[in-house]
This record gives sequence, structure tokens and C-alpha cells, in this order.
Amino acid sequence: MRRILGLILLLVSSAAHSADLDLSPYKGKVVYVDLWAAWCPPCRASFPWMEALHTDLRDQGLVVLAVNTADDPADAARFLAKAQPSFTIITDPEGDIAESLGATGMPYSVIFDRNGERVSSHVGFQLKNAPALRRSIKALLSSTEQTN
Amino acid sequence: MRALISAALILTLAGCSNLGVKPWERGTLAKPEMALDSSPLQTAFEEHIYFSKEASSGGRGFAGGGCGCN
Amino acid sequence: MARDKKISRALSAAAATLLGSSAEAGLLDYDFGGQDWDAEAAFLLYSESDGRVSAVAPALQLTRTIDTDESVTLRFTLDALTGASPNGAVPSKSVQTFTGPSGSSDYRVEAGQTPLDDTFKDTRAALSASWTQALSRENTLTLGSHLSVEFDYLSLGANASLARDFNQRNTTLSAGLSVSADTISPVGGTPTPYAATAVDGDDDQRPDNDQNKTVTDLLFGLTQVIDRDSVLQLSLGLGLSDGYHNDPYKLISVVDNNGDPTETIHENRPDSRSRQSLYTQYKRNMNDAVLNTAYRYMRDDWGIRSHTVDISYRLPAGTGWWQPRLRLYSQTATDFYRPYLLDGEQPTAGVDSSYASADYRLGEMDTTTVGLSYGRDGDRPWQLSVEYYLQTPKEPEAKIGSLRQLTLAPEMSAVILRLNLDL
Repeated sequence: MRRILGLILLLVSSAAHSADLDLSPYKGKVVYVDLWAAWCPPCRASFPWMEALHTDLRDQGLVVLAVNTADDPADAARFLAKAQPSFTIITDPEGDIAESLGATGMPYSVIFDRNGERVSSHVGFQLKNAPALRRSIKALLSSTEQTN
Repeated sequence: MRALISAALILTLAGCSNLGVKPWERGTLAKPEMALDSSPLQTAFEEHIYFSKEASSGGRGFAGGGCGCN
Repeated sequence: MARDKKISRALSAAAATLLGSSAEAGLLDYDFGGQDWDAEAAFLLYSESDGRVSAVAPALQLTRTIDTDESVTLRFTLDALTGASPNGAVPSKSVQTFTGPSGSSDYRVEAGQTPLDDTFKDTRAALSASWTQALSRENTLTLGSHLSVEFDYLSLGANASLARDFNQRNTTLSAGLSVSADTISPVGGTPTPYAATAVDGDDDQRPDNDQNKTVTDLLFGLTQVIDRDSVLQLSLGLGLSDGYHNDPYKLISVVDNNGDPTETIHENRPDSRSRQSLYTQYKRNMNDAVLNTAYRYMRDDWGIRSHTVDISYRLPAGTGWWQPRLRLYSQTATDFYRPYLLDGEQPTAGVDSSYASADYRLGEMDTTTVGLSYGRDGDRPWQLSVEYYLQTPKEPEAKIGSLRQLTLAPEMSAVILRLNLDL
């Protein structure tokens, strides 16, 4: 059932692979892409949650990719020095990745399945919705076993 | 006159759909000093002073602008 | 073996859930310095020239962020006033004696001086609370309440507002309703309109009952993000105030044809007032300097028309910033503003259908505020402001007799000092 649902979602979503967002190093992994900026309070608030997500689920094949979007590099660096995330940070100074992913708010996250297909997206970050988001990522991880 | 104001208002509102920024372009707007009311505590003090010294008071607006996050 | 794997998986899932929840408890640490409540303190000193009103007002604001889209704010304010305030009567070429509101104390006003009631002392304690929560991605609800207590005044109110975002949050429409129920307990009882004030501590037999006023305000707002650096706001306000509007401590002089006071009577204002206002604000960032401009037009059915312009410019300077500010305000008089009444013109005591007040705040007036602030941003922002406030009421054009040589509407200036700091 979940597979069928995933397939429908896959067909519906206009698999927007930006030339700027290179997911090829993460073949066979579930990728959680998060667009964030230091000036965005809910983005900052999501970092400890993403850290826990990454440390808990990386062995099951999850990659957390945090894209610093249209931010002041100094502000971003100051925040990262404090947050010290263990997941991957890339930058998108002009917002090209955000544009290609069709971000409608900040933060904006997109989940890609093990085949590199876009499965779902989320706008914003609330503590009360975070556990459900985590469960859906776990479900996606366990429904599709790691192939490599 | 009334019609003119209405027309101006409608044009302004219609123009609004072309105004604005992408969600990730709000870095400057998100700065505390760019909030429409950047110090509510200070505003409350002022409103109280002018309320007790002048015949008009209030009328200030609401939230909006800013980070536009979530 | 397969079974064992399942159990260990279940255990690790449980552990992850536990870890997850403990991590979630500290999720907001990055934003809010690990404190449950964010505190901001402010201290205000207000001092009018010529020994008029002085005020000291400390305030504390506590904000608790429950989620990234939900917060609670509590605010406590104390406001201690001392000094003298114009009682509404005209100056005279001879010494005048007035009776204080309590009826027991008299005060003397020298010839040519603006009569000031120096029994004016009050402490106000105010508490307000508000709660903001996103109902959905587009809709945000704010509920609030306030309580304000003075020796002779009690105000209790509630408000609600709903903001709705459109157009990727570039446009916000909002509507708010605020209701306040006020109780006025005049010192020495409620004065009878146009009744002469007691002389030499005589009891002027006032009813000792409380008076009430209900104030309802509706506010509609439109906020529009123009570009990366600027935002515009328009608000329309409608207000209706119903009940007791008299100032029980304000008097009116009755003068003879020579301009000499014959008696001093109590004022009377309408028992309702409706206001309409239009407010617009534009804020623009220019290379980290911020220009803020606001304009408000207000009119009411008492005849007040007012214009307010407020401009400030925030300039970054090293690790801090400077902000000069200019506010200009101008109002017309209410229809029933009378700096004094001619003998024979005054209504009979107790006549409630005719209105007159000599309160200079209801007269034609211009005010100017010039200020300068210095502040620091960072983890613990603070700012210090100094402002100079000047009121220039319009002197009545046609004055009678000896009043021509006297100033009925003197200028008043005040210095305002303010310190705000995050704790």
C-alpha cells in the first residue's frame, strides 16, 4: 500500500532535480534536504532535531543535507560554530536550489527516496509536528531496504 | 471622491500580487530592527504617554512582514 | 534469531524515541539561550518642566516560546506619578484658591499663574498577557487581556486578533477586536456637571458612586512586503467609547466681563465618542540603516481631527547603532472646548445635555517630539533613549478683559529618558 502511495506521489511530484543539487553521491540512501538560514528562527530550532535524526538513522541509510540558503555567510558560520552539526552542510547563496525545489517557506525540507525520487516536502518546523515527520522518515527507511 | 479612493485601493491591492519576495529572500526583513513594531515594550510606554497628553490614541497596526518563516 | 533481531530493533526504536524526546526538550536552546522565559526590562523617567508631572515607570516583559509558532507574553508595568497638572481654570490677575478633589485640602495659585492642582499623585499597576498561536500555516490567532489598577481607576480588557497570510506571506490581512471595561471612582465622589466647586473645604454633596466606561475598538490591517528591503502597512481603526468621559478633576472658570473669575465649575463631556483612524507605516532598510516612517490620521465625533507623523532613522555605528527620531502631532479642538465660560453662559448645575470642557488636551494643539537613541545588538541587546517633548496649545484668539494680558494655554515641555534591556 505504502509503495503504491509512494509511486503515486512520485508520479504527481514533478521530480525537480536541480543541476545545483547533486544527489548522486547518495545513491541508495534516503535524503532529507533542509533549506535553512541563520536569520530564520524555526530553521535554527530544527537543528537539534536534525542532529538527532542524523545520528539515529544514518546507519539505516539516511542522509541529512542542510542547504544554507541566501544567507549572510558570517551569520551562518557563527550559528554553525555554536550548533556543530555532524550532518552535511552545503550552501546555496543565490537560492537556486530553493527555486528549483519550489520552496514555499523557510525552513523547507524535501525527502528523496532511495531511488533519488522526490517523495514529500514540508514547509516550516514546529516541535509539535516533528515526531510525525521523524516517523514518516523512519517508515520510508524501513519500507525500502538498503540495496548497496 | 469615494470612487477614486476605491479605485486607488483596488489598484494598490492588485499591484500587491506583483510585489513581494521569495521565502528565502527575507534575510533583511527578518532582522529585529525591520519588524513593524521593533520594541513593543517601548511602544506601550509611548502610547501611554501620548494617550494621557493628547486627544488621539491608538490606531497602530498588526503583525506581518518579518521573517515570514514556518 | 529473526525474533531476536525484531526485539533488538524494537528496543533501539524505543531508545531512539526516548532520545528523540529528550533532544526535543532542548530544541529551542539555540534560539532562546536555554531559558524557559525570555525577560526584557524597561525603565522610564518622564519629567515635565515647571514642576508639573513627573513619572517613574519600571516594566518587565516575559516571553515564553512554546513552539516555533506559539508564544505567551506577560507584561508588568508600574507607573508612579507625582507633581501638578493644570486643573482647567484660567489664570487671574489676583491670587486664586481652589479646593482639592478630596474636598479637604485647599491650594493657592499666585496671580498670573496657570492653576495647577498639586494634589495630583497616583500609582498605576498594569498587567497584560497575550498568547499567539498559528491555527494553520496561513492563520495566526492572538488572544490577550489586560488589567490596570489606579487609586481611582480600574480597567479590565480583552482582545483577539486574527492574521491571515497570502501570496507566500508577502501579504498579511488582519482583523482585531478589543474591549475594555473601565470603572472610575472619582476622589471625593462624582462631581455634578457645572456645579460650583466647594470653597474652604465645604462639602459640595457629591454622590459617591462609581462611573463606568466601555471602549470597543476594531482594527483592520494590511501588511505588504514590497521587496527584500521594505515593508508597508495600512490600518483602519474604528473605536466606540461609551459611558463616563468626564475628567472629574477638571474645572472651568466662569469669568465676568472684566475677565475676572466669579466661580469655578465642573466640566461635562458627551457620554459616547466614536473614532476612526487611518494608519500607515513604511519601513526600509538601506545598507543596514533603517528608515521608519509612519503617519496617522484620526477623527472623532467630538470634533477632533489629528495628524501624526513619526520618522526615525537607525544608523549602524560599530557594534551599536544611533537612532534620531522626530514626531509631529497636530490636533483641532473638540466642539465643546471652552477655555472659560462667561458669567451667565454657564449651564445650570446638573444639566447633562450640554457639553463644555476647559481641558487643554481637548483644545487645538501641536506637539513635537525630538529624540535620540543609542543601542547595542547581540545576545543581550539594550538601548537608551532621550527625548524632548514640546506641547504648544493654541492660545484662544478672543480673550476677554484682563485675560488678554494672561497666557491661558502655556507651552509645556517634558524630558523622557528610557532604558530597555534584555535580561
